[in-house]
Amino acid sequence: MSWNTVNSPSRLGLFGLSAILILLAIYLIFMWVPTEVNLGVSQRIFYFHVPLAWIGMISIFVVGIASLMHLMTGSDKWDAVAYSAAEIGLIFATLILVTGAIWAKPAWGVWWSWDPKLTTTLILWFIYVAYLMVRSFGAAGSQGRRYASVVAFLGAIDAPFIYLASVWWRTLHPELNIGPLADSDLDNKMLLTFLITLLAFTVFYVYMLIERINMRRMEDVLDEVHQYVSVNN
Amino acid sequence: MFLMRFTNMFPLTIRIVSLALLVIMLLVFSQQLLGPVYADVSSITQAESGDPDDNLEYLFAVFFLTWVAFFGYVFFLSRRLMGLKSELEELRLEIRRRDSDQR
Repeated sequence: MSWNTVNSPSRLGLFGLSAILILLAIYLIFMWVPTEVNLGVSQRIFYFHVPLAWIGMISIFVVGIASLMHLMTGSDKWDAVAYSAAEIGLIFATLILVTGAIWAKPAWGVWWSWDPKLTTTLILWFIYVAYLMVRSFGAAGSQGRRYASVVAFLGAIDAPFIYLASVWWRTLHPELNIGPLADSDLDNKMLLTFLITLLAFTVFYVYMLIERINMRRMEDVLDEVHQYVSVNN
Repeated sequence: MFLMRFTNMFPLTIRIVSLALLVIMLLVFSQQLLGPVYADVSSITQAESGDPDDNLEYLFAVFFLTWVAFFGYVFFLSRRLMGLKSELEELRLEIRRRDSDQR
């Protein structure tokens, strides 16, 4: 399916669905879910922080796979996917660090610790910035895209390190709550709230990604038309 | 002058995240100067022994910043979309001007 075939009604539907899910998630987080005994209300940051972290990691995989597909097929569509996922991934990665720092203060007593999970997440943030920097200021055309693809692969390598940091190293983070190695003992209400929030952010991410891809494709077409007009001037 | 050059050089997204990084780095360095970098047992005990409801401002800070970031990004996208529309309009006028010149 071509991304351009994701028509306006479908996109509007996706937007509506994400809005409903987000409102539901906000209700559950603030009104419904029980308060954790030790951390108190600050534990509710978990319902924002973990989905943001999950999507921040997934997004770098999207960038890496789309970059690989672009290198293999030469299609600009894949390049648009990679660029868009990197831009949105950077927003999520920034939010992981910011929300993590805000949660760390009441939970650990410090804003930041050079904990393996935090450090590898900071590396992911730098990889996103590096990717966008290479795309903005690197070599023009396909060469710049190839360089950026290498940066994206490095990011895709970093993501499993973030996920497994709490398994491989001694860390301040608790056990995994999501993914194939999850070993969570969350209360049922907490788990349901977490899953709905995760779904809400995921749908919102997909919606933003589709919008950004369409815009990126439009930018590419406009560049081509500009070049055509200037050549025939 | 420097600020003008900085804003012209970098896209809005990079500027926003640079500012966020600057804030994080300031927090990190202030922590280095004023207090322990690593969470030690005493700080954790202190955090847990307080009234849990005292931490409500942290929850609202996270909620607020998350939505500011998303709305900021949507604002950036809408600005970019307006830019694309004006570029499209310029091209339309250029093509119309050429057509009339050829006639």
